[in-house]
Amino acid sequence: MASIETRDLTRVFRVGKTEVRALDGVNLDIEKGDFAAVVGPSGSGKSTLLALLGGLDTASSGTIIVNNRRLDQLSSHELAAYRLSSVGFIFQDFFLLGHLTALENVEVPLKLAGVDKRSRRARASELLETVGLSGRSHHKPREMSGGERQRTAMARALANRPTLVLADEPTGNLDSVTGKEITETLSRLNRERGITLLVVTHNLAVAKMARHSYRLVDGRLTADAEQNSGEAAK
Amino acid sequence: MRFRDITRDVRLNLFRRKLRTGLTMAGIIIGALAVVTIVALGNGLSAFIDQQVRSVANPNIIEAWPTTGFNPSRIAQGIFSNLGRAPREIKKEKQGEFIGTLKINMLDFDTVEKIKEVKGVAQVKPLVFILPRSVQLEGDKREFETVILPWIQGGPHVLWKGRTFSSENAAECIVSEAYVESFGLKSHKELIGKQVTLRVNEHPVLSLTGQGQLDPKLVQQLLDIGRALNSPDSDTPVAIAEAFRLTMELIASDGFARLGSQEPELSEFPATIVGVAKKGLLANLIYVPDEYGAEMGRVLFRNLDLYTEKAYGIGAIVQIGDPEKISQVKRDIEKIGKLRVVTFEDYMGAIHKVFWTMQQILVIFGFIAFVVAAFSIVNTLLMAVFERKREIGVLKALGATSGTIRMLFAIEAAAIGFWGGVAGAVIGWLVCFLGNVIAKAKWATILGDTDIFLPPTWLFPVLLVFTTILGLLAGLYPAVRAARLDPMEALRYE
Repeated sequence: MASIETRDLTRVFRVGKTEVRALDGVNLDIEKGDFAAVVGPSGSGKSTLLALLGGLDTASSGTIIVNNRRLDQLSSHELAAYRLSSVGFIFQDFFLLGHLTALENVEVPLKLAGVDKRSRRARASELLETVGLSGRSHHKPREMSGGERQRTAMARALANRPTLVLADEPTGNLDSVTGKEITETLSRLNRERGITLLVVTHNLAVAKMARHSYRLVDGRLTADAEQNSGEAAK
Repeated sequence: MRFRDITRDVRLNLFRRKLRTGLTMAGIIIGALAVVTIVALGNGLSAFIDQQVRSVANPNIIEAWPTTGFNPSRIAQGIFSNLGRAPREIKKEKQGEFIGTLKINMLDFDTVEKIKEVKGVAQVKPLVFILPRSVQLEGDKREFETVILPWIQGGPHVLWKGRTFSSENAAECIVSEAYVESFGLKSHKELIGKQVTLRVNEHPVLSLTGQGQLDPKLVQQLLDIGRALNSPDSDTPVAIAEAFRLTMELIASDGFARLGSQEPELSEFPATIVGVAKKGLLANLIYVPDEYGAEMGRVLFRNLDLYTEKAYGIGAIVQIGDPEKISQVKRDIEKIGKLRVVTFEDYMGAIHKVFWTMQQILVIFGFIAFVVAAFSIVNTLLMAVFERKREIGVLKALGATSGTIRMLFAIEAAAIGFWGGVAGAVIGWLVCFLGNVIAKAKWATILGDTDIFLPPTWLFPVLLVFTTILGLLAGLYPAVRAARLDPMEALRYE
């Protein structure tokens, strides 16, 4: 049973009088617990696809089914609940809240879910330990390296035990060594926790570590979906 | 999201921009400070005046006036308040209340007897008016200003030192402690036993008309002379002769002779000081025995029958046995009919109403500060929404609903209102405290232990509820804008 299923997914943006088709009839199937990558050049529609799968944006046409739920039929309130409990986001720019410590940043989704302070503190500490940041939990983002920030963002993405993690160029702002470490950590989490992981990237090295990778060009998913060796998954 | 977490986040957000938060709060603080001090001053002054008047007046008396005839409020209404309204009909039974038909009616003896029969009435005396000119200490040529009141109008707490009067027509008086200074004495002890002269005026116009000195015949004669002198042929020998004849006739008339014989009087009343009243705001009061006061009152209208069994006077003072029953006694007197009954509390109510009105006008200025503050909150929060656009996007991506975002900003605004109100109230309270210390140091003899700034206890909760709601309302628009932000657009915002 597929965890993610899109049919004829189309997203059209209007810029003045011009229509831009960011996604054009995308059909995508990702199995539960899979580690998939979507590669493509800038402007190919990767981030748009991720936003639609994460319930941050709504499609112009087509259907999106995630864990047997049709996202295109959910209200904005239901989409917020979906983002809170089912999805974890990891962004290229980390998007940590600068005035909060690493621990507090990880606590944010738990706080939004109404978890009490003691429980969320324990959960956030455990997650920071999982991503190897237990010693940095009381540091603010500006006191951390890029890799540490992205690890914090990863811990935050996992806070509410999502079934799906969507990562948008997670290594885009990192050097190659750190990028590799981050990808390996993501892969490990996918393996150990059975989380479905979808990474969009233009970094082929990252894509290589995924079990399946897809190519997105001008909003269209090419038919030649690759079956990778799943280097990191081994 | 739990409410406690929302308030914690709000506190964190407010502390992130301390200066901006402080400046935004400043408007609320100034408004709250102004309202607290104005209301406290109004309240304090009102209480002070209340206390002062109570210390020199008798709260256990009721005034009763005939409803027909002279009615100052109806006359004032006729002059000032009839603007735009159809002129009222002058009904026969209401004659004397109108400016054109002004009539001063005496209270009739039957009514006075009925008042005396009302349960709870201790005694009834005529309402005496005295027009004092001055008070003079024996052996001292200087005259000092004064207000002379019959003893019945003095309150139960008036006498401070000495004793009350030996009889109702004793040539005695109780004077304010303030005369110690005026007379150049050392202490109130020196006042007691001193002899003073109370000078009382007669009413300059009423004394003439009241006793018929200006009779119509006399006026007619004056008019005739005027006409003769102003006629077109006034310079002819005939006209001059006629004017001369009329003038001679006038001089020879009885009316003219009477006019010359009765000079406006200035009567002198000797009195021994037997008691001293504590000095208050009304520092020039002298109390005299009721009958002695009536004698002085008769001078005012040059009417020897006034306040006697021949003419009761234009009103009565009713003394109540049990002050608790004053309202009941008032109602019972009103039932007699054709009487306007006024208690001490009615007068105090009018005084408090004046203060209350003044206070309300001043409080409006405080509210102007609140309006400015509300705009400041709107502006600050709109800036905050703009600055925290990406943060809002992140929160939405992490699962925050629009409602959560809206609540975060709305509560932030309410918190500015609430804490601004708290700070303003605390500073206002400190200003009141300092104001009282300074006022007591400066006017110690008058104020004593009285607080001139008296913030009412209800003010603080009301003020805090008001400033919080004001903040909340001001924050609604920015909160709605924040909640409506598209998460993708917000995340892309640099």
